[in-house]
Amino acid sequence: MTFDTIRFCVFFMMVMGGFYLTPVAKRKYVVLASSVAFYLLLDVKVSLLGFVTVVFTYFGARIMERLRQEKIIYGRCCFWGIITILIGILLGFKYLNFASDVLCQVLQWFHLSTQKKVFELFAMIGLSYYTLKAVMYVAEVYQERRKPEKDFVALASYLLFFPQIIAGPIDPPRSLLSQLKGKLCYREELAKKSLLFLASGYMKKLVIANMIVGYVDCIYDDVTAYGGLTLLYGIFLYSVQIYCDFSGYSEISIGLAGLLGIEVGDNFHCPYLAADIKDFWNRWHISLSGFLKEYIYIPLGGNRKGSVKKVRNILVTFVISGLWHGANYTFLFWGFLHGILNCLCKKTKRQDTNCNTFQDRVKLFGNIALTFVLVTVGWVFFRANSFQQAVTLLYRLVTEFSASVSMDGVREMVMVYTGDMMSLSPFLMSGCLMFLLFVREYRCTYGGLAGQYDKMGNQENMVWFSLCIFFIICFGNFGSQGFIYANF
Amino acid sequence: MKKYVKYAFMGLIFAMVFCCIKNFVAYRLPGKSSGMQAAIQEKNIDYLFLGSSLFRQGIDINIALEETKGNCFIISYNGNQPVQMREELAMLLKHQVEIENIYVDLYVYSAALRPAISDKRFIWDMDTRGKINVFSEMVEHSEAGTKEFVDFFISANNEYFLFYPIFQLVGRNEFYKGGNLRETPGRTRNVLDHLETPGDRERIHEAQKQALIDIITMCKEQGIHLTFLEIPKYYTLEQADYYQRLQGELEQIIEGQEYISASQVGFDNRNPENYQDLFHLSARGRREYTKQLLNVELR
Repeated sequence: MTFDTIRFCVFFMMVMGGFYLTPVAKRKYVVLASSVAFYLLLDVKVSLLGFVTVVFTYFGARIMERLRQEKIIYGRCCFWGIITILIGILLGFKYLNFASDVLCQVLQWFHLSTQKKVFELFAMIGLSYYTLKAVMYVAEVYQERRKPEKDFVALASYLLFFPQIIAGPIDPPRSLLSQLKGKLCYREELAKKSLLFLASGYMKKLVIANMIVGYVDCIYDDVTAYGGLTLLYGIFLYSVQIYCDFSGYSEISIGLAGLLGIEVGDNFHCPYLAADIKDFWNRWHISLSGFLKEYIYIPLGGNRKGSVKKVRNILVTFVISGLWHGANYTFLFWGFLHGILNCLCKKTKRQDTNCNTFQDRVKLFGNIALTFVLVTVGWVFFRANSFQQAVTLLYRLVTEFSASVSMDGVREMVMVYTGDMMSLSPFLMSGCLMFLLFVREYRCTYGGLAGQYDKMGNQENMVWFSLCIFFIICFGNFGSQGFIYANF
Repeated sequence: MKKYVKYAFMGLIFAMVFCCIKNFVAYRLPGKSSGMQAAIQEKNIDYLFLGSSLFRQGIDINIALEETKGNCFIISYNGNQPVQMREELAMLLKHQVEIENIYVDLYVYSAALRPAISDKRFIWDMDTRGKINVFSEMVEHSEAGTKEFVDFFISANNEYFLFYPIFQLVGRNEFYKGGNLRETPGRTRNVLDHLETPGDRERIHEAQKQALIDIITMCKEQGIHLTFLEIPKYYTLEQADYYQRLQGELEQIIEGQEYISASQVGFDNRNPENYQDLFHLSARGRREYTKQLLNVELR
C-alpha cells in the first residue's frame, strides 16, 4: 500500500476520522495505531523488525542514560553498542546481498566457488528511515540534548510515523518527537499549507513522474538500441523523474502529517535551480543531507582540520551517502562523483533573488544549467543497472550524438515509448508539464513567489492548487508505479 | 478554507468538463487518416481489413489499392480483440458504411485474452454506445472495476485530446487510409532468433469466441463477404506448440468460413529482413506479403 493508491486514500480518511474524533490528549495513540496498521498492511516481517527497533531504542537509551550517570565510560560503551546494533541491522539487511555478490566474485577469481549467492535477504521497506531516526534519537540523548523518552507511545509514533516510513523525510527528534509529545490540534494554516503540498506532491508523482517512467525504463532496458539524441533525452527525463518522484513523495508526506496537525520539515527546495553543487545539496533530500552533515561530516572533523582532511571528510560523507542509497558500485561511484564535485566547487556567494541586471540573469542561468548537467551525469550512474551500462550510455551519448541529430533522430526520440506517432501527445504533454513546473519553481526560488511558495492565500498558489487537481484527475496514473526512494 | 474549497471545486469542474467533452465530442473531430472515424468518412469500402497492429504492419495500403483497383481501408488497433472488432463493425454499419469485402484478423494472442483494451486509440475512436458495450464486456469477463472505469472514461487519451491539432499536423502523414506508411526496417537473424516467444495462453476466451461468431452473423445479415486472415509470424513463433494449438482452436470456431492461413500465401517467414519482431512485418515484408496475399485472393 503506497500513497498513490485508492486503498491508501481510504486508509487515510479513516485515520483522519479516528484522529479528530479522539480527544486531543489521546491523539498520539491514534497516530501510533495507524502507523502500526500501515506497517502491518505493508508487510508483517517489516513491522516485526520495526517494533523490535522501537523497543530496543526505547530501553537502550534509558539504560545508556542510567549507565552514564554511574560512569561516563559505561554510557559511551553503551552508546556505541546501541549504534553498532542499529547500524548492524541496517547494514545486514541492505548490504549482505551486495557483500555476498562481491564475495562470490572474489571466490570465483580464485576458482574456489561458483555458487551464485552466499546469502540472500529480503528487502525491508522503511528500514533505513526509522533506523536513522533511532540513531538521531540515541545520539541526542547521548549528547545530553534531550532526556531519554519516558513516553513509549510518543517515541514509537516518532520512529514509525507512517507518512514518513516509505521514503522519509528523516526528521530529527527535536522537531517531530516534541510535537508528538504535545497537543496534536487542528491548525487551519497548517492544514491549508498541507493541502497545497498534497496537491503539488500528487501532481509531481502521479502525473509527471508516472508519465515519463515508461520512457526512461525503455532507454535503460537497452542503452545500445538508441541514438545519442534519444539517450540524451532519456537521461534528462530520468533527472526529472527522480525529482518528481521523490520530492512528490516528500510533499505528500508533509501534507499528510500536516493534516494530522504535525509540522514536518521540507525535504526539497527546487534543487534543479541550484547555482552550484553545494547549493544543490542544500536543496536536495535536505533531511538526509542534514543527517550526514551532523552525524558524519562534522564528527569526522568537518572543515576545521585543514584542506586535505576537509577533502577527505567530504569524500567519505558522499561515499557513505552513495552507499546508503544502495549496495552497488553505481551508487558508490555516484557518491564519489558528488564528493569530487563538491570538493571542486568553489565557495561562491549564494545566489539570491536580486538578479536585477541582464548579466546577472545570464550568469545565473549558466550556473543553473551547468549544475543541472553535472547532476544529470551523476544520475546516469544512479539509475544504470550496472557500472558498465552507465559507461556505455555516456560513451554512446558522446560518440553517436552528432549522427543522431536529424529528423530520423528526432522521430526516434519521440517514438521510443509506444513505437508510433501516438507517442507525440505524451511527449508534448510531459514537455509542457515539465515547463510548467520549471516556471513554478523558478518563481518560487528567484521570482515573485520566493519565500511564499507555501502560502495558501496567495492567488498564484491557489491557481497552482487548482491546476494540480485538474492534472491529477485528467492525467494522473494511479497505483501503477512504486516510489523510487522506497527501495533505499 | 472557503477559498480552498472554491479552488478545489474549480479544478474538479474543469477536469469533469474536459473529460465529458472528450468522451462525447472528440471522436467526431475531423481530419483523421486512420481509425474508425476515418473509415466512416469513406462511406464505401470495397476491401476492409479489420484487425490488430499485425494488419497495420502487414498490409501495404498502396499495393492493396493498386492491385484491387477498389477502395481499401485498414482499421487496426494494437491488440485488437474480436470483442472490440465486433463493436467496430457494428459502429461502421450503424453509420451506414457500405462494405463489400471484409478481412478479419485471426490473431491467437488477442483472442486468448480476457476482454481488455490494449490501445487507447480504440476508446478515442468509439462512440459512446461502443465504449459502454466494450466496458460492459470487460466488467462481465474481466472483473473490471473503478480503476478500469477511470482509465476508460477519464484518463484515456487526454493528452491526445489536448494536442490533437499538433498531432494531426505531424502524425497524420504516418498513415493513409489506415495503412502505415513508415519504412520500418527488418532485423537480423541473430536478433530475431534470440527474441523470446511470449508465454503460453491457456485457450481461446469464451467472450472472444462469441464475438467471432457475432461477426460472422453480422456479415451474413449485411451481405458482406467475410474472410479470416492469419498474418504470418516469424517461424520460431509459428512453430511453438501452443501457438499451433490455439490457432487450431480458432480455426475450429470459424469452420465453414473463408480463411487464408499464413502458410497458404507462401510468404517466407524465415527471412529476418521481413520482420521487425516476431509478430510484425517490416516495410519490406509488408510489401511482399501484400502482393502475395492479393495474388492468392484475387486469383
